Amino acid sequence: MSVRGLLLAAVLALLLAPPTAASERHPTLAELEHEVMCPTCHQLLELSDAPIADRIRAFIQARIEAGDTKSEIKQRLVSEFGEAVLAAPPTRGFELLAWLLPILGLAGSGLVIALLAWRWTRLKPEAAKPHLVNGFSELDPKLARRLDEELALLDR
Amino acid sequence: MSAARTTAEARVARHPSSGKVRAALQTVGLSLVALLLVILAMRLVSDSSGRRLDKALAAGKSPAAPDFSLPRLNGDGRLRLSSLRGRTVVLNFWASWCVPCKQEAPLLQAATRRFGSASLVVVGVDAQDFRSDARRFIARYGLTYPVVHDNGASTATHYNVTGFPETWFIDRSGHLVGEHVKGPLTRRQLAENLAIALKR
Amino acid sequence: MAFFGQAVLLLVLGLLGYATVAGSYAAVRGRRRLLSSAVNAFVSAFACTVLAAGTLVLAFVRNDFALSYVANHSSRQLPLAYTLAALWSGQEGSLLLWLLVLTGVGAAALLLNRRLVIDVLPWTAPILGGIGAYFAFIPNAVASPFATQTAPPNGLGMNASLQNPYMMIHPPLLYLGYVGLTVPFAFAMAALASRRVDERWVVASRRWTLFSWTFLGVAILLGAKWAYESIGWGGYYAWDPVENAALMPWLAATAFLHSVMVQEKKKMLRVWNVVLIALTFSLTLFGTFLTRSGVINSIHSFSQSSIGGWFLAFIAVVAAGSAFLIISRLSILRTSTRLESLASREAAFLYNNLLLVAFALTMLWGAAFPLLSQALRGVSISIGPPYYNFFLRIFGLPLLLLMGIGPLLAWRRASLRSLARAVSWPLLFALLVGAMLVRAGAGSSLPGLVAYTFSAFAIAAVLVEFVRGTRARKELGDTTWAGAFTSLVSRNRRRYGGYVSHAAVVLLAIGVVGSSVYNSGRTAHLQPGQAMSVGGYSATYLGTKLTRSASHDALRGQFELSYRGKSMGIVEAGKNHYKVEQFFANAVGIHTDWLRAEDVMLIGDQFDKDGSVFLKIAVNPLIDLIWIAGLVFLIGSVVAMWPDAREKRQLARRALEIDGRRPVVA
Repeated sequence: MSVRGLLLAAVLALLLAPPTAASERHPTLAELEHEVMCPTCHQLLELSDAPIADRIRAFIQARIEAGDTKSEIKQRLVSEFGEAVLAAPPTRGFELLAWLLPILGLAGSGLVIALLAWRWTRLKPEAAKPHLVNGFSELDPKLARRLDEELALLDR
Repeated sequence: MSAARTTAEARVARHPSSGKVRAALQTVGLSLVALLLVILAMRLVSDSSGRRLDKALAAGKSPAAPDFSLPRLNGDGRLRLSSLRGRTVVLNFWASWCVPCKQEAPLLQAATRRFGSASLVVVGVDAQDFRSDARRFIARYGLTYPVVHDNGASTATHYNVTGFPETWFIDRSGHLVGEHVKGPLTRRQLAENLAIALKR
Repeated sequence: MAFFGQAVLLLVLGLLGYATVAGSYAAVRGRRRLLSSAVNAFVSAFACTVLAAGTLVLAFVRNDFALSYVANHSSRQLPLAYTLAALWSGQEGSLLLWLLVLTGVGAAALLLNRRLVIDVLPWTAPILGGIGAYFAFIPNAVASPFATQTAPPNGLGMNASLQNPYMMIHPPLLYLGYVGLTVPFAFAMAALASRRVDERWVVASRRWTLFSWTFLGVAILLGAKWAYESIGWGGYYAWDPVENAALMPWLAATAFLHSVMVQEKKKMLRVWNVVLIALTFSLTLFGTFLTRSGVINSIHSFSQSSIGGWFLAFIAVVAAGSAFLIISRLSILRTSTRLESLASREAAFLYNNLLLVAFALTMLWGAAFPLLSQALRGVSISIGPPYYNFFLRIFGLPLLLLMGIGPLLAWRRASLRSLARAVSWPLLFALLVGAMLVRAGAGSSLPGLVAYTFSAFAIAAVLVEFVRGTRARKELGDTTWAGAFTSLVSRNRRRYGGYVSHAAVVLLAIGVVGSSVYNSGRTAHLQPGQAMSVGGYSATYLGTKLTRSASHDALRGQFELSYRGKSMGIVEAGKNHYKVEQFFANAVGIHTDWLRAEDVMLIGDQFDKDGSVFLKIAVNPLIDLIWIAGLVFLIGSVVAMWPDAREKRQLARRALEIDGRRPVVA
């Protein structure tokens, strides 16, 4: 039940995340200020009041007025300042790895858990039962009692 | 399943593959951690390469100037630093938005005129800047010495540049000499360091 | 004075070295008295560190500029309060504070669990001693806070952005959290080394984890508030590597707090828990390494120094050591208590762990990836807020939902019917809230809408749990509702304290979403007498005034603020000029409407000579819920941490019941 909810939520979030077509064709300065870094101060353009940040803002505004799309503006900025001017790496080539690894990692470990759980839940109850009371059951009874007594002492 | 068997054995017996899976997971996890540490160690070493230049200079040594090849802003093609061997080089890192760079540019231009390009080359490295802005700056201050554009500021990083303007002096054999001047050059700093660089 | 400080620091190193070596020998040979002396050495190391830190503070108070550290971080003009806090305003002093907290928390843990660390987990003291010895070695050999120079007439002063009341409280709290996580790590490793891998180390370390986790969480929020009030960009968290360095271990510790419950109850996840605490501890070291070594570009510029290599080496030792211990003890760690169903409380904890750890590791990956790109391709790239915000949605939204579902699921196996019954009310409530939000226009941001619907679900789930529990208590004989409620909470403080923390997380989520998705702002150039308006607020520029003090000049623009025509009074925003430090800092004006938990922030971007101002106004809806969440979080933690004799007895009884034996304690 909750797995389904989880998947649903993840898919939903994935769908919501990418920018819509409208903002690609008609970007706003505020949008781009969130996606571009100030190259001298290592923070978002939005947060920066360095001189180059003001220049970049003016440049973006001019390109928007000239009718450039968002990716065209970003491409121009990259050609001037290098890839580090983008606040997040592009989703292609080597940089795709930055995005993919966490998602694949989560999906992979989710799969492993699901697989293990499926295997465990198919165990016969008889086989599983003695292990349910495991804990100290591999120890000999004398040692186990001593452990219990120590535990009890701790609880005082 | 025999009750006498320990649970771990029992599980391995039931699923012979799970031992291998576990070993694989362990290997992958540990090698990822190791990889991360190696990358960081490498970065720690390479990151200090710029700083190493400063340290060597301060210790009285003359380290080799890291080579670069960058597109020219005034003129065509690219400029390779090593192609200037045999001449003394003043390597000036700047940007058009930097206020002190505006005071410094005429000084550098005057030095170019005075010494002539056969013995001295000023190389302007424009970084973290729009090329159009830089060209406007070049035209406004009438700079005739070669200026290159450092896209991504990687050359600036190699020279441990932390702000603009900054200047290094390179002798005829391609070694850094004098001092690494952070901030705008004064007339005296320029003269003193040029004297050292030209003498070698 | 410098000599005395240095001598005491050397003594600390000696004592911790003794605790490590003698403790290890005692642990191997089973020498109880020697072990006891190792514990005592550790406690004395704490006393000596207090002395060393006290010496440095005294040097600050006496303006002893012959100490480089004092000269570089203080001046005669610095107010006394900041002089006292100057101890942690630079690297060397911060490391001394780290040592102080480490020895303090470690000594407390050793003394409060003395019987356990001597009889059951003898490796605790030497492991804590070893970690302590490393942190005593650094200030002794690499970055000494007691280095001397010829005294200049005045110091360089304190970094102006640190001259803020938050700076006096944020770093010590952060260190309490950060360094406190050493204790559960030491217990876990000691359990492995001592081959006592049952649940005792978990029980003993629970409160220490909770303690560190609480302080770390509160410190992160205080840091956010500091950034919000003093830096003046209208935000509070910028996903900067330094900020992430604190969040990563907090997330891992959150996962750990949840997964140890599974181990306590069901004896499952033993391997996972030791891996998780090793990861958490490594992340604290890692975060410090990243931020202090200068390897990563950050807006927080700490002074770079040579400690990077030492830290990296220590991380390698910790990683290799814990990996070796865990792998060599795998055979005794293994249990065969297993997950019975993917729809159970255990499974919910597992999903929660998966998401939290995935998020923490993603942040690590985000910090490391630019280095990888630089190393492999020579291309420098940035991984900034858009990247982390994307993953916050991917991992955070499911977590929010899970937080609602998890507590409603039964242990072992939840039947579909019981689940449906439990979920029905919260679900109904969430759908209702969602529909209302859509009508109110919150649909302008889909992630925002989803987050709010999930938040509504989670908060309703918490409420349902409280209502159901209280009703049950009332039926069991409590006469009043208030009485029933109190006895409910006091009977299971951990559970209901945890629910309060869940409520805090929901508040946090609502505040974060509200202020980041539904905010608005604008900048305008105003002459005196002119006004500008944003989102119903209007600010009229009245003029400026200048106040001078010994440490700084304060320029303030005065603005009359009104909301929908109703005056809200005068708000001041301007800049401070710190004279010794030659530094300008923003002083933003914030008007808080507590009823709507909304802030209007006025930032005087630039004051021109003609008396005009570039004023930025930002309206941050619901942002104050974030700070309220911090308070609720603290309350939840205190409830969960409160000593409870009954709970202890129950725990012992339950542990024995699971073992199928008669209870030893009545």
